[in-house]
Order: sequence, then structure tokens, then C-alpha cells
Amino acid sequence: MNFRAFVYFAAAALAGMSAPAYSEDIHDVDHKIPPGYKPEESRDEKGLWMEIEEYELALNKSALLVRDPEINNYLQSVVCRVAGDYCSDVRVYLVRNPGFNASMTATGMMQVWTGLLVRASSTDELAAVIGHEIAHYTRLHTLERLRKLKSMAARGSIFDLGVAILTGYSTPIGQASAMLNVLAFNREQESEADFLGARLVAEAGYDPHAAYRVWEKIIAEEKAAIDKRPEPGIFSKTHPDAGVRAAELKAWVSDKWGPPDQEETADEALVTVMNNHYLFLMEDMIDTNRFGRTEELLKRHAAMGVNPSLVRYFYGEMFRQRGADGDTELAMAAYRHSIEGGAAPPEAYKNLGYLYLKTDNPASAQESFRDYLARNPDASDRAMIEFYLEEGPQ
Amino acid sequence: MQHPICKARGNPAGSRLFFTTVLAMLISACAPMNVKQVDRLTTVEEHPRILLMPPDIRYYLLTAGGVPEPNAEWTEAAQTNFTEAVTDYAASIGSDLKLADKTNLSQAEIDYEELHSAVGFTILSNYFGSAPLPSKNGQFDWSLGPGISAIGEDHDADYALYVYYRDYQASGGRIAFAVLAAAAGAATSVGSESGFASLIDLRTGDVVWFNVVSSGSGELRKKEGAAAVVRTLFKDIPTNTAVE
Repeated sequence: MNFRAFVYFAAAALAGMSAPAYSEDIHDVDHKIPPGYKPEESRDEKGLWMEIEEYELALNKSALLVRDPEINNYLQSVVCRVAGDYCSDVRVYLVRNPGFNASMTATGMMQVWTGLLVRASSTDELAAVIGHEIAHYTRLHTLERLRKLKSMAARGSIFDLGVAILTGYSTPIGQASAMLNVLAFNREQESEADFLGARLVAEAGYDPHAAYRVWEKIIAEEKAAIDKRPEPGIFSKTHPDAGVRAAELKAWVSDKWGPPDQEETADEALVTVMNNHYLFLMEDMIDTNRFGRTEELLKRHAAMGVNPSLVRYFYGEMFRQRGADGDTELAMAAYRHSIEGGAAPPEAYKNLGYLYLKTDNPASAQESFRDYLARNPDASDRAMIEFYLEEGPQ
Repeated sequence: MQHPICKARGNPAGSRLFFTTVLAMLISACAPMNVKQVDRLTTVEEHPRILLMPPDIRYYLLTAGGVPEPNAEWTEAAQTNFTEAVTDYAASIGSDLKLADKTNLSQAEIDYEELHSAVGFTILSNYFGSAPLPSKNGQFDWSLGPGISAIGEDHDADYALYVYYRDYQASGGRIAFAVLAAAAGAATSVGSESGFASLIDLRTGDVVWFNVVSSGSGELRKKEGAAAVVRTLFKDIPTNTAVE
């Protein structure tokens, strides 16, 4: 065993010894703060609020913030329904980022990434993630994590100092063990938020079964991915494993609220929002160049009833950018389908035009380019397209 | 070349302290740490108009285990005292000082504040520090870029003053721990203070003056302390008046 391995082993053993048993039933925890909560006269809490409030001022001006009223109203209405009496304590910001995430702070400032919207199959699933975040807020998780970190770091330092005095060897065992303890605490908070979140969702009249479906879909996406997410090491496991979360939630939700309805029903509110904003929502996802994941989401959107003309356009984009054998033909077919569907963006014509050029069909390319300019007369690449038009069919 | 009054205060734990640590190490070298590119400020008005951007000042309590805890009371006191001290100082050197409202910054203003701290750290490490950029040939030509002129037009200002400062104050527990650790022969950080200020020409974006806040120069949480820091910090700032 080398030194590093020894430190890990000793730290893990120490963390295990001092890990607290759950003080109350983790499935049944309640809110810790009342609606309208303001920070106590405690130094650390006020400091935390100050930092977050400064961050929120900057976030309010961020170019990444989605400011469209329709999509924000939709999100706000889900937040308020799940938050109930806490509705006016939560401020939700929709941020352009294709990753799957939402976050909550001690002050009630909540961020939802657009990547969450493109992954939700139903408003219930969106509500489930929001419920989880609201539970973090009402359980004071951020503040308690800071307090845990402070106390564990102090204990760890003192342990290391003791070892140094007794043995003359300086090791980071105490500090490493403190980190493991803080991470275990973090995972416990996540589980707490999972269960309380599911309860909030059910009480608001959303389907609690959505709580684990979210995780099952993340797992499905991971399976479809070409580049897998690396497994976190023991010093970066801030959250429980997705599979464990899904299984625990499924067992508990089914036990408490009975088995799920047979079929998920179509979700008009979500599909309407998707149809009206699909282009910018998926543009960021396409730009990740993660073709396996993108294709999985497109499949899901088609099944949900998102306008097939829009979904087809992004199939076209995905095939064109992937550029594997046969992808040119698949992309062209997808663009043509999108155009037939009647909701294709002007770029569908342009990109189809480029693929016609590539496949030695200049006459069709000219036609597509003309269609593109007719639909987008102020195109920023107008000069480039006109250059192709002037060259004419060879 | 360690000057006796220079004190380096060890390596604080935690990744967010990284830059502060680098800064503390740079300061501990104690070379002259300011640059003046112009001797006089120019303006179309009677007095040069200087826009003080919200000073990016933060105070933390360094807890026993080395975890920095943001402190609202100290931070707010320091920001207020510093702003007041700069206002007084500006009047005394004949500059027309305008204050940017922290609660009502535009996106560009927020972005430039971030850019200033990024450029400031670059100046610290690539001009004063151990990693000079060979292509610069020792020249000081850092700039935030001419795009900043829109901010000058918005506020009718010729120059912008940016300040970045971080202070980590050891708690009683931290000091006790450091004493024990010292007895065992181990060095432990008991806090640090560090920062820098720049004067930006709002017509070009160029950094026309840059100074490092030296450790132990004053106590921003107190009015008199803030005035002392401001006097030391702006001693060499170019003005439109003859040198005092």
C-alpha cells in the first residue's frame, strides 16, 4: 500500500467511524423554515446571503438568462404550484445551458438550465426536479453544509495535528476524512431533497412517479451516449448514484402512492412551450456535438408530440454535423421532411442547399438557397449565399 | 530580497484562496508594485471626471479548520468606508468623482468588473510576478479594450477606477490552532489581505495606473483605517494638478 492509498484508507475508516446515523426518518422530513423566512442574526448565514445576493444581481444582467415571458411564465407557474406557501420566497431564473441541471441557494434564488427543459418528457418531471430544489431551500441545506464543512475541517485539522505531535509524521488523514464526511452529508441532503421533493410534487397534484422517471431517463441518455460520463472518484461523489436514486424513489413512491398510471398522458403545456421555443432550446444541445445524447432527446421529443417538422430539422442538423458514412443522405431526407412539415426554419433550406452542392446537384442547391433568402431576407450570410447563386449551375 | 517589514502570512487552505495566496506571495517579494503610464489626467472639462466602479471588496472569517466564511458586516463596512474615503480623497486632489450604483449596473459594467480582476491578476503574475511575457519586452501595455468607452459616455467620465480586495481574518479558533501547530513545528495560515486598484482611461480602455494594496496597510473596517489605505494606495495616482 503506497502512502496515498494509506491516507485514503485511513480517511475512509475514520469517516466511517464518525458518520452519523440518520437522526430522523429521511423519507419523512419536514420544512425547517416558515414561508417568508429571512436570515437569522447569525454571522455565517448573513455572510452567505450577502454573497448570493451579489451573485443574483449579476445573474439578473446575464446574457445567458432567457427573458421570454411565455417560457418564464410556464416555469414560474410550475414553481409556484410546487412551492405552495413558499411561492413568493423562490425566484426562478432560466439559464441557457444544455446540461441537465437546476440549482437552489440559501436565499431562494433558483436556476433552471434549458438542458432540463429539453430533457423533461412532462411537466410532472420538470415539477419533480423543482420540488427537489425547493426542498433544499426549505431544509436550509446550503447553510447546514457550510456549518458541517466548518466543523469537520476543524476536527480534521486537529486530528492531523494530534497525529503530527504524537508520531512526528504530517499526514492529511484528518482533512481527507473530513472531506469524505462532508460528501456523505451532502449525499444525505440529496436523498432528503429527493423524498421531500416527491412529497411536495404529489401534494401539488403532480404525478410523484415522475420523481424517479427523471433519473431513469438520465440513465437512458447515458446509455445512448457515445462518450460516457466518467464515474466520480470517492472525493467527488457529491450526489448519490442515479440508479440508486431511481430505485429508492421508485420503491418509496409506489409504496406511498400506489403503482403508476399505465400510460403517461400527453402534456399540452410543455409541448406548447417546446414548439414555440424549440429552435433556441435545441440549438445549444446540437452545439455540444454529443450526437448519441442529442438523438436520444430527439426521439423523446418526437414521442411527446413536439412538432415533427421542428424535430426533423434537428435530426438534419445532427446527421450533418456528425458526418459519418451515409449521414449526408440522412440529413437531406430529414431537412426535406422538416420542410414538408411546414415549420422548418430558413436554415433548413440553406443547409439542404449546401448538401445539394456537396452531392453535385447545383440546380437543387440554387433552388434551396433562393428559398432560404426568400424566407430570411436579412440573413447575415446573404453575401455568401448570393455568391453561390451567381456562380450558377456548372 | 526580503524586506523586514514585509510579512507573508502562509498558505491559506482551500481552492478559492488560491489567487489570494499567489497575491500574498507576490506582495511578500516587496518590489515596487505600481505602474504609472501618464503623469497627468486629461479631460475636456475643468476637472478630470473619474467613475468609481463598485469596489470589489470582500471580507472573510477564516474558521478554525481554514474554511473561509463570507462576513456581511465587515464587507459592508469596508465597502462603505472605502467609498467614502475615496470620495474625500478625490475632492482633495481636485478630481470630479462619480460613483457607479452597485445595485444598478449594466451587463457591460458587470463584465468589465470581471475583466478588470482577470487583467489585474495577469498584470500581477506576468508583469510583476515570476512569469513575464517575453513578447511584452517589459512593456506595460495592458488594456481592457476600447469597447469600454460606451461606459465612459454613459457616465460622462474620463477615467474609471477599479478596486479588487480580499481579506481573510483568522478567528480565535484559527489562531489557537495556529499556535498549537507552530508548537508542533507546522506553519498554518492565519489569514491574508491583498488586492489591487487600476485607473482605466475610458477613451482607450488602457490601464494608465496600477497599484497593489500592500498587506498591513490599514483596516478598511474602520473609517480612519480606510482613509489610511486610500492615502497609501493613491499616493502616486496621476492627477490634473501639479505634484504636491
